[in-house]
Amino acid sequence: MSQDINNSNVKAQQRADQGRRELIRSGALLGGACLAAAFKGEAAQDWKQGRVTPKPREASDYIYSTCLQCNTGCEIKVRIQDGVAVKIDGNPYGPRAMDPHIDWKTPAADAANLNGVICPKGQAGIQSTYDPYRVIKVLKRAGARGEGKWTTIPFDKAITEITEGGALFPQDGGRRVPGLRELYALKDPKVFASMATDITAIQDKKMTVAEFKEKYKDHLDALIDPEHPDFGPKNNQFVFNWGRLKAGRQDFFLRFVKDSFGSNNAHGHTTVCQGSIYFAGKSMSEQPSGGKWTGGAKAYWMADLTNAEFVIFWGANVLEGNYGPPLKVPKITRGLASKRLKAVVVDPRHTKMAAKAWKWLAIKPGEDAAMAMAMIRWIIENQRYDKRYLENCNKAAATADGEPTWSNGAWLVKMRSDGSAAGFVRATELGLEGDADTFVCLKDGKPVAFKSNDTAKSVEGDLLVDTTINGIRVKSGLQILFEESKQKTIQEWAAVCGLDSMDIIAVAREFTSHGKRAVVEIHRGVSQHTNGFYNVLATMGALNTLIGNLDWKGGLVYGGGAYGETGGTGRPYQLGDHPAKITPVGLDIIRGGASYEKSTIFEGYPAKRPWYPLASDVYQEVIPSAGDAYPYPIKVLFLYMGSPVYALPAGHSLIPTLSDPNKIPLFVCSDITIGETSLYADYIFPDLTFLERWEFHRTHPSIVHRVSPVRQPAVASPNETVRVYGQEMPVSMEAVFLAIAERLNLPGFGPGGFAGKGDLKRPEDFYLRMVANIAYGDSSTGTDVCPDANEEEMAAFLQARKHLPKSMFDAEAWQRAAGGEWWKKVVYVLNRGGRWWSYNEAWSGEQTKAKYGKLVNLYHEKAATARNSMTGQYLKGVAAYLPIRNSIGQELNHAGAPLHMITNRSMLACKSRTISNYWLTDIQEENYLYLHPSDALRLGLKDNDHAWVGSPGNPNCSWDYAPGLGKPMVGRVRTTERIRPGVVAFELGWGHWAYGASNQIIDGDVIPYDHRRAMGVHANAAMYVDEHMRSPLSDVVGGSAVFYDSKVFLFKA
Amino acid sequence: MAETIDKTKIPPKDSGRRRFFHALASLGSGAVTGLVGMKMLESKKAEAAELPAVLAEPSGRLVARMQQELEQTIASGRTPSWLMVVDTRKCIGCDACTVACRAENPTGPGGNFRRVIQKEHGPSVGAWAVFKPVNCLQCENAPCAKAVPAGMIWKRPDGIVEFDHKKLKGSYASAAAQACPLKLITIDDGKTFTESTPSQQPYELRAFVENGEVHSRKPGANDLKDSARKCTFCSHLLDIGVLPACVSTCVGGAMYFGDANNPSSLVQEITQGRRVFRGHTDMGLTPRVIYFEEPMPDAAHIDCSVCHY
Repeated sequence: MSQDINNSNVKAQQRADQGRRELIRSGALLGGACLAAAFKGEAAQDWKQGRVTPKPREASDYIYSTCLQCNTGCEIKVRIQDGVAVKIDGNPYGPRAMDPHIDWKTPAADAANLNGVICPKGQAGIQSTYDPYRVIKVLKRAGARGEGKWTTIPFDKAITEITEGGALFPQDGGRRVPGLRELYALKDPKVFASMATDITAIQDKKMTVAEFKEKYKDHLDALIDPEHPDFGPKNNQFVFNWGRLKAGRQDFFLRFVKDSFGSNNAHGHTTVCQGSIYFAGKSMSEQPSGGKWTGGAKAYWMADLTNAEFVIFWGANVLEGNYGPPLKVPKITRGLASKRLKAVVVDPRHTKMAAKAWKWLAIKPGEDAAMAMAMIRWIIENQRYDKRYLENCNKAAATADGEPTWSNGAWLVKMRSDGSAAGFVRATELGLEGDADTFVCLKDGKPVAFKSNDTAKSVEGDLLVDTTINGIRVKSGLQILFEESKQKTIQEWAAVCGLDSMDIIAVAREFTSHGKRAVVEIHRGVSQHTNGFYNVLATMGALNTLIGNLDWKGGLVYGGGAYGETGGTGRPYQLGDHPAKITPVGLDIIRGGASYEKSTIFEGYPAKRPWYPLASDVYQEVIPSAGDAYPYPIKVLFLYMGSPVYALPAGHSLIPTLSDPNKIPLFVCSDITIGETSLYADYIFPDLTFLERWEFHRTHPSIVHRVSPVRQPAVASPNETVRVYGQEMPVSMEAVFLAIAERLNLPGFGPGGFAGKGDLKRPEDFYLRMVANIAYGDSSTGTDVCPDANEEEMAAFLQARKHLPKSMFDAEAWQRAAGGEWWKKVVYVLNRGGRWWSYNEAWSGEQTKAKYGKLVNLYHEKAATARNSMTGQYLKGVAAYLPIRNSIGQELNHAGAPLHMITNRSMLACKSRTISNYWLTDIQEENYLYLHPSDALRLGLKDNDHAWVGSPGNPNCSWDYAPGLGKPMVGRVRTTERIRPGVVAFELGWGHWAYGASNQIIDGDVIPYDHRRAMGVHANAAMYVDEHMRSPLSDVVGGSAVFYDSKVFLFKA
Repeated sequence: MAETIDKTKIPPKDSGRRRFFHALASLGSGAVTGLVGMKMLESKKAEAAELPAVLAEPSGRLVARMQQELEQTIASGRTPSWLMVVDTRKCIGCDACTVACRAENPTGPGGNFRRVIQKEHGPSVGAWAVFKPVNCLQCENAPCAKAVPAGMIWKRPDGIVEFDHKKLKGSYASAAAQACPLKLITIDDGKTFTESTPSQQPYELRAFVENGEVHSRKPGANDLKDSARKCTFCSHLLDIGVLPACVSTCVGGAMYFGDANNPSSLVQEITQGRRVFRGHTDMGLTPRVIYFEEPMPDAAHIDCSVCHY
C-alpha cells in the first residue's frame, strides 16, 4: 500500500515537472515577449522576475462538441491539457453559446482565444466524465434486485447470457431467464408488412381472429398471443426504453430495436419532461388528409426572445431551465436592460425571472387554464384579437394578408345532440361540392366551402357563428372556445386560479398591445398536470393564436430545424439503407396512438390502464404496464440513460415491478454509474459520457437558426475495451447492440450493413456518414456543400486528438468511414462542432425565415372524435378548463395533507445526473423545502429546521427501495416570501440513495458511498399514486407525468 | 492617459492574435469600436436612448469587442489599468462565473475566488431578489497588503494585486484573509474534491499558472497548500490575450472588463458620467470591480444592504 502511494507520488511529481517544462518552454516563446512589451517603460520590478506565462491558445488545444448536462445542448469547446479535459467553454461558433455567433467560416485558429457562454452545469460537465463512481466494466447482479451486490463479468460472457438466456441467477432459485434469441421470433419483413394490414383489418372489424390465425398458421408460435393478433409478434416482448437520447444515437439504436430486431416497443421519456406540450403541439399541427387528421409533429412553439416586446413566461423557469440559460438568457437580459422587453411571470414560485419581471402572478398550481380562460374571455369580448388573421380560413386568404399561417377558428363544427362539439361539418353534408377534406365557413350568413391548402380561392369566414344549416346545428371553432371561456366570469376564473382579476385584465391588455411582438411562452408548470393537454391548448395554443403571432418576429416560433443528418435528396449517405428492414407491427405496451375501442381487448370502461390515442413515449406507462402485463407481458427490458425511479413523480411506485423477475424477467441497463434505477438491473453495461461519444443534438423550438451541433469524442473513455465485428471499441450502448447483432446475425449491422453501401461495424461507420450529410448542407442541388479543411486545420484536427486511443480515434478508419471525398469536409464541420445558419439568416423581414407556415388548429377534430379510455366520454376539441382529476375522473384524496407540493429546477442541478458534479454541490450542497413564512409559522417550522415530507400515500415519509433499505424524505426548511402561501417547493437533483450515495458491493468489496452525494431531499415518493393505476398520476390525454398536483404534510424532524 | 489605439501595433502573423480580427469582422457593425453606439436596437423608445446605446448590443458582440480590445492593448505595449464592471441588472445569479473560475483556477472544496450573493425580500416589501457577484476588488491601498510584511503582496502596474504564494502561508495567509473586508481571500487547505472517493480524478491534478508560477494541487505535492489565494483577474489568461473566465462565460452578459486607461474601451463607455456603485470607498479603498447602476423598470437594485444586512 505504501509502495503504491510512493510510486504514485513519484509519477505525479514527474507529471507535474513535465507540465512545468512544457508551460515554461512554450511560455518563453510568446508570453514572455509580450509581457516585456506590455510593461515597456516601467521600472523593472521584482514581481516580473522569472514569470511563467501559459502556452498561447491554439485551435489544437480544443475539441468542439456539444454539451449534455441538460437538454439544451449548447455548443462547447473542450480544452484538453495533457490528454485531460480541464475546461469547458461556450463555442463561439454556436448559436446557443454566443449571441450573435461568429461566422461559421471563420478559420478555427482565429476562434481559439474567443470563448462563448456556458452555464455552471455545462462548466461542471468535466465532473460527469471524471466521476469516481463510474462503472467501467460490465456488472452482473449478485444479490436480489436492488440489494446493491454485483460481480464484474466479461463483456462477451454478458452478451452470451442476455442473448441465449438460461438459469443465470442462482440466487433467484434457478428461474430460467429468456434470452433475446427466442424473442427474435418473426424475421421476414414481408410477413410483418402483411400482418400489419391484417391487424388493421381486425381492428376495423373487417377480418376475424379466426381468419387471421388460419392465414398465419405457420407463424402462430411467433405471436405473443394468437387469440390477440393485435399484440403482434414475440419480438415486441423486447422493450427498449430511454431517458435522454438524441439523433444519431437514436437512429443507431432504433435501427437495432425496430428495423433489425422488429420490436414495436421503443419508448422515450417525453412525458416526464413536457409530454402534454409535445402532444398538444402535435394536435395543433395535424392537417386534414382524406377525411382524417395526420402529419402532426411531436413538437411545439416558443418565443422569439430576440425580438419580443412582451412575454408571459408561464410555468416556465426560463432563467434556470427549459432550454434556457446560454441560449435564452442573454436575449432576455439584454431586452430588459434596453427596455425593449417587458415580462410577466405566471408561477406559484417567484422565479429568478420574476425578480426582473413587470408582474409576478402567483397562480394556484394546476389552475392555469382558468387564468387563460379569463384572458380569452376578455380578449374576445373586447375584440382585442387579430380579426384579420383569424378570419382567414385557408392558405390563399392567409397569403393575401402576408400571413404564413392560418387557423380553423372560423371553420364550422357540428354539434352533437347533447350540446357537445364533434367534428367539422363537411361541404358535402350541406349539399355543397367537395370531398372529405372540404370544409365550410359562414361568410355574411352564407356557407362557403373551401380546402385548407387551397392557394387559389381565398376564403374568409365570420368568426363567431352559432346557427343551424340544413338542419345541422353548427358553431365556429372560435365560438366554441368563446363559450368555454364564458363558463365563468373573469372574477370567477380569477378566484379559481387564486389571482386578482385586475391583474389578469392588465396582462391581457398588455398582451394585446404589442401587435405580433407579444407571446406566451410555457413550459412544464403548465403541462405536468392531469389537465396538462388542455392547459397547453389554452396558453401556448389559443392565446397566441388569438393574436396571430405565429412565425412573426418577436412572436411564437417553431425553430429553424436541423440539417438532414440521416439523408435526403442529394446527400451523400442514406442512413436508412438496410438489407432487410422491418416495420414492426402490433400494439405497443404503452398503447400510444392506439384506440382502445378498436382493440381485441376492449371490455368497457374504465380500461385497465389508459390508452393514449393522441400521445406516445409515455414514460410513466412503460414499467407499470409491464407490471400489469397490459396489454401483454414483456420479457426483456433495456433501459438507456434513464432513471424513471428517480425522475418520475411517484417513482417509488415502479419499484415493486422492477424488483420482481416474474414481471420483468431480464432487465438490462446502460448507465455510467449505478443509479437509482440501474440499481435493479440484472446487468449494467457501462456507457460513454457526453465527452466520449457521438450524438447529434439537433435543435428545439426556440432556436430560430437551422442548427446541427455534433457531439464527438473529446477524451478517452475509462471503459474497458471490447472487440465486436473484429473492431476494438470501449464498452458503450453501441457496442452492446453491435455485439448482439453479431450473435443473432441481424441484418443491417456488420459486413454489408448498409445493403451494398458499406459496412456497419463500429459507431463511426454510422456517425461520420451523418457528419458528411451535414457537410453537404441545405441545398438538394449541392450548392451549399461546405469547404474542405485546409492543411492547417487538418493538422490541428489530428493534433487535437493525439490523446485519444486508437479504439476511439483512428484517422484512417475515420477517413474510410466518411468517404475519401468527404473526409476534409467532415473535418471542417468537426473543427467547428457542427454547422448552422449565419446569424442574420434566421429572419426575413418581419418574420422568421424558417416557418411553420401551415394551418394551426384552434379546434381539434381528432381530439373531439376520440374517447377517454377511462371514462368513455368524448374528449373536448378546444382549449378548456378541466379540474384536476385522477385517471378515472375522481377528485384526488389529500386528506391530512395541507401543502401543495411543486418541484423546480435549480441552475445548479439537472435531475438525476449532476450529483456527481462537486463544483456544483460545493455551491449548493443540498436542496431546500421552500415555504412561505405564514405556512412555516402554522406548522411550527423555522429556517434550517429539518422536516419530514409525507403524504396520505406515503405516511412513512420514505423511499423503501429494497428490503431493509430506505431513504428518509427529510429536507431542510427555508422560508421565503418568494412562494405562494400553501405551496411547498423543492429543487430536483438532490436526495439520492444511489449514484454514489449508498454503499455497493462489487466482487465482494464494499465501495463506500460519498455523503456529499446523499445530501438533500428527493420528495417524489410523497407524490400522488393514482388509485386506479397504482402508478404515477397521468394526463390521460396528453400523456404528461403529473408533478404538481400532489399535496403533502411536513413535520419537524 | 488619453491614448488612442494604434492599429499599426497589431502583432505580426502567427502571433495567434491578429487572426482574431477576422472572426470579429463577421459579427457586423457593433463589433468595431468606432461604430458602437450609433445603432440602437429600439430607437423609437425614448427612454432607452438615455442609456449607453452599447448596452442594447447583444452580449456576444460585447464579449467580442472586449476580446478585441484586450488583444489590442497587449499588442500596443501600453500598461493597462484593468477595470471590471458588473451590470447587476443582467446578473441572474446562476453561478456560471463561480464554476468557470474554479475550473480555470483549480481550488478544492470551499475554495472560492468568486461567489454570487443573492439577497431576497423582507416581509414588508414582498418578493424580490437581487444578485451580486463578488471577487477580489484589486484595491489600491489593499487592506490585505497592510496586514502582512512588505513584499508578500504587491500590485502590478496594471492594477492586479498579487500574492507571493511561497511566503503568504500560515499565519500570514490568515492575516491577509482576515483583513479583507469582503472575505474574498481563501486559504488553500490542499484538499481535492475526489481525494476521499474511490479514485482521485486527473483534472484536479493538472499543472496551472497562477501569479506567474506553475502549480499543481496533487495531494502530497501541492505547493499552494496553506497559501492565501484569490482572484487575479485571470492574469495568466490576460497575458495570452484571453478574457477572464468569469467575463466570457457570463450567461446574462453582465460582465464587462477592459482597460480604464483606454478612453474608447467598453468599460469606459458604459461608466463615463454614469452612476456606478463602488463598495468600501469609506475605507479609503478604490476598487477595480465596480457595479453599473442604472434603473431597470422591474428589478430591484444593489446597494450596501446586499452585503450588509
